[in-house]
Amino acid sequence: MLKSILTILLVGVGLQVATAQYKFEKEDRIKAKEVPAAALAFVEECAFPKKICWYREQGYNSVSIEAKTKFRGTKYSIEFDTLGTIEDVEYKIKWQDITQEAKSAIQSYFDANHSKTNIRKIQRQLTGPDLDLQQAMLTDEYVGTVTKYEIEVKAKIDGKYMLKEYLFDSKGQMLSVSEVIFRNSDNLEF
Amino acid sequence: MRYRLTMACLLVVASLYGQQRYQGGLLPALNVSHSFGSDWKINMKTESRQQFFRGGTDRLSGWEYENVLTDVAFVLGRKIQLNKTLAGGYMTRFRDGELIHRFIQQFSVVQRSNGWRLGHRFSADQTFADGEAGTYRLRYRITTQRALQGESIDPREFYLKINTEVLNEWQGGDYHLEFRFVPFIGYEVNDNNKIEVGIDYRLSSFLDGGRDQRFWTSLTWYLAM
Repeated sequence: MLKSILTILLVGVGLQVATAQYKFEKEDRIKAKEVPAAALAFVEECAFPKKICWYREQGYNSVSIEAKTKFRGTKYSIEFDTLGTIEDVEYKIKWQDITQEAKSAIQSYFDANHSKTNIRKIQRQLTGPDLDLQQAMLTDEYVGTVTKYEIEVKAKIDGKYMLKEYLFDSKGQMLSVSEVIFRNSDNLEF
Repeated sequence: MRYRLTMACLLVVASLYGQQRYQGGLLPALNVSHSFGSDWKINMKTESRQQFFRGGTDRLSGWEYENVLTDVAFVLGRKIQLNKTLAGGYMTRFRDGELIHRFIQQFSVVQRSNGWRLGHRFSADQTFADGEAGTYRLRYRITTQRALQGESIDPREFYLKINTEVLNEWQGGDYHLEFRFVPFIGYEVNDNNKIEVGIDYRLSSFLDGGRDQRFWTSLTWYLAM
């Protein structure tokens, strides 16, 4: 009985491993010595007091390197390409940290498009020259950087609740939207 | 406060010197689910309890194989919000040639937070068997899950999952309390295919001055189709 169950389990797992279509998006922890020199230099120049954790994020067609750290109570995520060129800096902010102009435009957009919204998470996304990005992170002065807002929203659309991720520019104009697909949670529910 | 502390100490002491029993073995399970419509899901779970050893102060101890029971359950769930599900179902238990019936109702909530996922399950069940008083239970389980590599669990990665559950049971005027603690190591083949191995530790009967401890090596395969 026991042998049969184990055999069925193992054969099944083997078949699934062999035939499954993988969503090729993976985040792996890497060591500092595996990080491109330019990315390492950028982060070292910031002299963050806390530990830096490095990750390699692999998507369908792209690979990026990410540094994560906590500075003055805020979690920063700094993304680079594989050559170490910075792509953007992201960190969590509150609704009141958004400029009044952008807030009004974003709220108007939500009011016009959804019957009900509940903001789950807001991130400021910064792009720009290296020095300006470093300055922005260390001093909260956004000179020479471009700000975008990444907002995760629970919205009711056509009577159905969905989790959407919006990207707005600094004036609150919507740039892109994608639906966040919930991961399977059977092993937490049943 | 002092009274409660004294009572708690007495309970612990009583459980140390009272009747003790233990049991252990293997708990293989297969959990298959299928989603349909936009919000519905049917879940089928089959679990077999194989005892390998047992013992205690009132019985002979040692290795003793026994196919204790087999459960087959079907639960139908409906998502009522993004992360909240209401479900109800029926379970049949095959034990010593007898058939036991259980009706299940549950409400679950799944939360995400900085690399962690947290699951709350509130459930009630009613169990009926020939010649026995009905058993009524109220349960609460909290589950935490975290990736062992990176911040999210990706395909072909291991993760840690910990279940903690409290079970209140009433049968024929008697009340029993049981605690379960189950640390798992899981492997995600992909989002719809996971395997978990852990030690399912169950502690009960301590309110009666004894201590029943069960240790099951749990091996569960979750498949979503």
